[in-house]
Amino acid sequence: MKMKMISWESEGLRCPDIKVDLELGGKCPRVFLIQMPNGTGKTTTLTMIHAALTGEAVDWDFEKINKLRRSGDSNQSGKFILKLKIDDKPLTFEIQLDFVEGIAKYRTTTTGSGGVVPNWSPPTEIQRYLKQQFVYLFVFDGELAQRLLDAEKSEAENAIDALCQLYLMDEVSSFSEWDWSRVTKKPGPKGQTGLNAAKLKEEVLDKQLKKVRRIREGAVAEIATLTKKMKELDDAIGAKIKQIEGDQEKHQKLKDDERERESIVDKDSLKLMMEIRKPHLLHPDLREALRTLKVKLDKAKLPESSSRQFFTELSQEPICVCGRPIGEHERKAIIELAGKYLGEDIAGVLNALKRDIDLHITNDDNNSSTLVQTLADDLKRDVNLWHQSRATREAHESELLRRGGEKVQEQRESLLKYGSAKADLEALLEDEIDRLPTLTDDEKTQCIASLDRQLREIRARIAEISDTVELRKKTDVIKEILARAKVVSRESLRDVLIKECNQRLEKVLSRDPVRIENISRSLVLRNQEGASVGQTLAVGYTFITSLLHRGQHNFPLIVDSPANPIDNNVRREIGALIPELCDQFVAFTISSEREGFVSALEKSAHGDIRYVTMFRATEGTKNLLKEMPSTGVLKSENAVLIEGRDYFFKFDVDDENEGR
Amino acid sequence: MPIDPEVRNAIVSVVRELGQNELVANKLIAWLIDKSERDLGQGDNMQHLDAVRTEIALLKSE
Repeated sequence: MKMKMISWESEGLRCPDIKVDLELGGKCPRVFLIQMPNGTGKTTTLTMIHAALTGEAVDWDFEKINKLRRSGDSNQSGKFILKLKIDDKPLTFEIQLDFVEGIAKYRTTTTGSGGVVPNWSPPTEIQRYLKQQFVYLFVFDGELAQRLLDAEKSEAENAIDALCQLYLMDEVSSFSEWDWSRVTKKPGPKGQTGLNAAKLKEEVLDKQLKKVRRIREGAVAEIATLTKKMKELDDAIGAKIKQIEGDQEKHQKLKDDERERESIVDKDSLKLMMEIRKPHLLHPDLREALRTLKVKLDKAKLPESSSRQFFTELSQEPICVCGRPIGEHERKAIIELAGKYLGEDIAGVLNALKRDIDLHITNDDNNSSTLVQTLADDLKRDVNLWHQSRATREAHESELLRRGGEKVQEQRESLLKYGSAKADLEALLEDEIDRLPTLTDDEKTQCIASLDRQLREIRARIAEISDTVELRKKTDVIKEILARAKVVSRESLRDVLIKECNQRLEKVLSRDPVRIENISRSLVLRNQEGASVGQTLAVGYTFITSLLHRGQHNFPLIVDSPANPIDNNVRREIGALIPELCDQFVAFTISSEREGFVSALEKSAHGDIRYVTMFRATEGTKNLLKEMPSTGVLKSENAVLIEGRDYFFKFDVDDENEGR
Repeated sequence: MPIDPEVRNAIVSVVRELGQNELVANKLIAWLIDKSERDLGQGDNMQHLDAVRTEIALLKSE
């Protein structure tokens, strides 16, 4: 799919009443730069473009809608029209804002069967690309870079899934499941009642599984949020404590002591875990049972008497151990049946087991049976000491905080509250959602593995009752292929993207050490803590443009203040990069962004670039109105749009201030 | 419009790992490409599903 932005037009909104045509002579330039001084309505225009694309304005409240009316105006309505071309076919969205009622209405115009429709209704095949989370990827604001790096969000993963179309695999998987479900609804020759009951159970389990997965997703995101908040609070409290007069040395010593005690507990736990893994040390009964096993193995002469090798060698002998001769028939039978007896691998395991029982149990003079108990006692003692040291540190800290005032005490309370909420969520995951299944789990359980298992079992039963066993198995094969392929492709796409992005970052941020280290739900940077706003924005551009370039669809990249926080060297590199990676780049700029950025864009776009300057027609811009060029000027009641490179470059910062 | 080469490679390799015929991968990839190019109706999806199912071999253990 190829999407191009053709024009937008606004009336009665905070942005000027004017139509901006991107297309000239039936062609959109690769780069379209619209220079708008601060206060001309860049943000409003971007908001309206976003709303036109996503249909989100119907959910806006009275206050949000009225904020889009120009301050001091009393017009009762406003209008915004966005024209696009999707695969060269026109598509128009019109938003009518009613400031009195505080509601938004849409009209959609397509050339297909739809014609003019009195709501937001793009053709179904493009609706999936017009969801909010998708549109944010190509109608780019400065915050996207931050969201891509935010561990609480899954923007990076969602972007890969969306632009590389991984969701198609889910859709195919769902369709094959849906079809099996459809087939099994038909009455079969065997027990309809049983089938109905099983289908009902399948529905309940499926619903519960989806619900628990949502709960899990929410819990993981909430844990990330709480962790971030706790770190911020902890840093703030730490900074405050340093300022409070008091025994700082003692506080530091108590903190060190607590850390040391905690590390001793870690070491004790590890030691105990290592020993617990040895069954003979875990319990005297296990030790005795292993000793008995060894005696029984010896008595049965295992594995020697039953090894395959024994029968293989026997088949070569002329006389059997029973005294009868071994002919060709017997030899063949012995060789064939030798496979039923223990192979070398199993015999090896049994021999090793016997050897270990001898070594660790039969000949053990060290009385190691008490070792686990000793280690458990050590751990218990050290845990107590750790808790004591924590309580001492907390008491001292509370005293310091008491002297620090109300705010810091509130922060401390919040920290404890968040810590407790986080612990609850972690316990929910560990003890319930992510635990291993048990035999007593029913369909109400929150254990995902158990619900998965129950669902598999009930589907197998439905397949059996409805004579669709083969169909069920084939559905499972299709779903398994797609589920595994999705994981594999997402992993390899991440690797490829990290490599591609870092190669670009070598150029874009040649003087800075910021590189992408990993892509999980979000982008993870090497030296993330030290990355500046400009650097993270450069990383965001690089990632999104690499994805847009890689993706199989073609979207315009629409950006507000594309170079504002970036220093000149990085601007040049990004300016040179963007036209190579997308077919239509529309940027809302201010004059201070021209330096470095625009010349690089111009060079990289090979002249396929249009420059437009727009400012409000007000008392403050009277001087500008006097110095307009003779051609390429479009005036409306409250704004002026001037086409051309010369004017674009002449328009300077002072003029901008007048544009306010 | 082609699907991403990494998606294609992943399907081919998983199909091979599961001991299925290469045709299973081809039919699945054809379905995904068709989906990426146009809005498929139920009938179109059904045709693709039947084509994939026909190529799937069930092993004795399955």
